[in-house]
Amino acid sequence: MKNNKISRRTFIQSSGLSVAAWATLGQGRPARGGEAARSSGNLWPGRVAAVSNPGAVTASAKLQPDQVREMVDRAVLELTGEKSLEEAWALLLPGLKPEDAVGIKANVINPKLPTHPEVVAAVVAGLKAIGVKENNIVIWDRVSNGTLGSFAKSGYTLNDSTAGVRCLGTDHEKVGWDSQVKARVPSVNLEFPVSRLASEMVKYTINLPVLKDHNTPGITYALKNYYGCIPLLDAPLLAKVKASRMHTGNGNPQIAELYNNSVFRDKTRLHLGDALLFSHVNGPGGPATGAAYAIHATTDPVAMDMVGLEIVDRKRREDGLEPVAAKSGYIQAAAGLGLGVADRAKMDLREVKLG
Amino acid sequence: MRRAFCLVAAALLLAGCEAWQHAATPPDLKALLPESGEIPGFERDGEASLGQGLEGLARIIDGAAEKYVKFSAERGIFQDYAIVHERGEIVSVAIYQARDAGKLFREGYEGRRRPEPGIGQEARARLELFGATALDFYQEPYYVELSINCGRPEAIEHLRQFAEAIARRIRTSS
Repeated sequence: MKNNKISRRTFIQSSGLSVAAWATLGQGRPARGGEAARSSGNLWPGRVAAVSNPGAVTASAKLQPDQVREMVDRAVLELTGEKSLEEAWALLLPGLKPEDAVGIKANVINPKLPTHPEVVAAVVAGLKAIGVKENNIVIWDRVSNGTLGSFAKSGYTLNDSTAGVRCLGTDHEKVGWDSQVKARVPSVNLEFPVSRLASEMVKYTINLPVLKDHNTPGITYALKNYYGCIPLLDAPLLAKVKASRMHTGNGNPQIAELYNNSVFRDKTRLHLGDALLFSHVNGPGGPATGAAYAIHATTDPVAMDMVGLEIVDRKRREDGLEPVAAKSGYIQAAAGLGLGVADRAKMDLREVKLG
Repeated sequence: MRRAFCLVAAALLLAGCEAWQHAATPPDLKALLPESGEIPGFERDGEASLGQGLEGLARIIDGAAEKYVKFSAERGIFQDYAIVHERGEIVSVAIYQARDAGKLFREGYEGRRRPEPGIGQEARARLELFGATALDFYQEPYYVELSINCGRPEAIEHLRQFAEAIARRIRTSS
């Protein structure tokens, strides 16, 4: 893939041009009505770019950075329908100013199967190429390095300095929970402060989950990753007791309701799913049990979870196991809230095979 | 007023329970862990984590805790071991004390497996992993899970060494 470096000025200009282009061109135009129109970050309801490349993962499960970078770049182009990466990223992150920060919400809760650093690195490279300052890119999750997740054990280097790409958890002394911005979950009558890394510290969020089976909601992928944006187990005592309600009933509809808060729904501009490796049994805490060799790019987390669910259940059927779809009612609930498309027939799955 | 009293009472009760969980954690679970160097070439990587009950386990293994508690796990200890001089390979050890460790072994895992004779009351290797190797066994009242982020043939031998060491310690402790 060619290097698409451009100056910051060009990026800001192209960003403006791209936004203007949506308004006048039919191709790639963001949805403004009907299903999933409530989510302002969901520019293309139902569209998922699925780029696969078996050469991106070795037999010993090591990722090949160059191939991963190519997959991420291709997925972003395929999703946006743009010809150049700068136009594609500018379309996804409109109006970005040089001083604006972009958050990358990774998932490192299980270091045996985290969002792979190589995938995050590919996104970072894309952002840098369009002029986002390194230090304005923040890779984050709930915990920096602890029992409940670890960047270090997942292959990342923590960085809270004023140089380079930042990488830290909400538990870091410079972060914490935002008491001004609350996420509501009406079905269980709960309200949570959100990570400042999801609210005031960034202009946009890029969601980078990893595909795992989950004993409660069947799978964890795009939508469930937002549980890492609120205090659950790390909440004060009484709040923690209440927070256990977030997992009752297979998280349906709590998972959908959590995402249906503006701080997540509107600020998230891209969901980039890491399904290079995934688990279909013993998740979410176990090692990878399969390889889909795939990267998914979408603005529709509901559609991406449907794609992830299919991968997990296909493998489970191959192994003679009960599918987990029956537990995954939260996906339909999310569609019901207008957060995306769960109807497979209405989805626009754009598959690209590399390698 | 009554509501405020109830809330304070509940908070004190819960705080007491939590404090009890830490204070009452018996040392024997830690004693089941191999020491650094006990398995040649492996050193403890960081501190062990202890969790009790659903909440305590969820603090360490998040959403996975529900499954273990459902199958009778009461508490667990978690410790990683790194291969000395070889970057990146980690053995993860999880030991659960359960009311019925056999049930946890039989019903807690549904993937493909191969029996591994001679360890605990029953042991098996998990076969479907990608780039990793795992082995689990039970010896009442403990259920033990071991994994290494390596899919090479010798990986299962590393896990067997850990499993045998832990099984010996369980026998000694009882």
